[in-house]
Amino acid sequence: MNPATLISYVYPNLHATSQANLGGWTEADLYSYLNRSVRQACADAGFLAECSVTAVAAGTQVVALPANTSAIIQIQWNDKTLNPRTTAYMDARSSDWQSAPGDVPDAYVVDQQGTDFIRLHPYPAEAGNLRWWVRKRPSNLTSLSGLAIPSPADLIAELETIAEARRKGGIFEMPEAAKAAQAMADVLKAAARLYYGGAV
Amino acid sequence: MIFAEVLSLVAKKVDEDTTATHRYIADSTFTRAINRAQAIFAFLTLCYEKSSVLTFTPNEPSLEFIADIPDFIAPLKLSQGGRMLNQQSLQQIAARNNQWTGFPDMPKYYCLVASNLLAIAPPPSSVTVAQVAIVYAAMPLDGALDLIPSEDHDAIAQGSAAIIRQLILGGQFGPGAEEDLDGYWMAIKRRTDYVMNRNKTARYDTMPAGVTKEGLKALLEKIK
Repeated sequence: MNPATLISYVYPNLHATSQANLGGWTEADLYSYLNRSVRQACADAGFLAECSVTAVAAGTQVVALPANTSAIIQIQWNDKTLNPRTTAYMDARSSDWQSAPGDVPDAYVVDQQGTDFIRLHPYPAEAGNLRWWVRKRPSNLTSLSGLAIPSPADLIAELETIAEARRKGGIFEMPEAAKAAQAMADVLKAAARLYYGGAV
Repeated sequence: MIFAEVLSLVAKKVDEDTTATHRYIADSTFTRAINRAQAIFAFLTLCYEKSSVLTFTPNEPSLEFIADIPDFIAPLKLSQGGRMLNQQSLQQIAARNNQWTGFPDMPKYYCLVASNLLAIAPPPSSVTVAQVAIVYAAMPLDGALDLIPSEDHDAIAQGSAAIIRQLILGGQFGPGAEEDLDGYWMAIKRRTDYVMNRNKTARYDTMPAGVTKEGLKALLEKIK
């Protein structure tokens, strides 16, 4: 995805040829609409994921998730798949589970939002590796930063940027155009969920 | 139908002159509308099929592949050494062997983790078995209308005209798009049915999302 190209595709829909004659919007507005759309498409349809490995020292109880994680798909400790658990589940099993002695982890407990850190249970008595399979939230896109993502995401982002721009109140508002662009984007997002949402 | 013919057809549909010098709407706007209509068509129907080879790293279970196949939409079939890999979720793969990343061998399963990431299980044990053939639904390049079946080119023109009327001209021009849009979505539905049968026969792993009869009705209502 090349954000600068995408924004240039949006200009004619706003009856502009460049940033200079945009009228009711600034270029920053358009990038903000674009970023919102890409973030939502990645969260809803699973456009972006990462597999990475983190070395963990013996005795570590809490480990931060990879930056920009939006959802956990699977986590492995030294190649063994860990069971996902909630705090409520662990508390119901044992009130002092957090003080259990170190051993080989067989489960992880997520924080309240599930996107910041995990607690390993039992905590590792020896050093090892965590392999993360996580869905990612894209970094903020600017005119200079691209994103390695298939082109259907471009199409959704372009249509939603048009929809958002045309929803803006005032003399530049075109509710019918906004509705039509959003309806097309919604159909594409539903298809993307079908194609890319099956891994979880 | 070649691209210029479709462009001329779209110009007529939106009451524009067929020669570029007399148009109010710029040629680049027509081109973008046609490319959008073509891309939406290909994405929903998965009508354009391509093949390639993906090279995994031995002992590694995942591959970020977008740089290798940037026109990727969805996987249709993966095979290694002529043997098909079965599509599974990561949970299914872990249910078969909860240490699946730890025992490299000949790959048997694959998972599309997201639109940019593939996993194969077991991870390939050598350079030889790390070469995986992929058949995938692809996005035609901008302007490559010949990659869409020619009987659907009229529908692409209808979709493009509707996009121009609804998204660019708007106002009193919007309602005139309904008939064109209807024709475009119906063509997507017909092509989806065809590709669905083709994919079933070929035992492909991904079926086109398309638009269902009910979905189409709801969509047209929403756009009107």
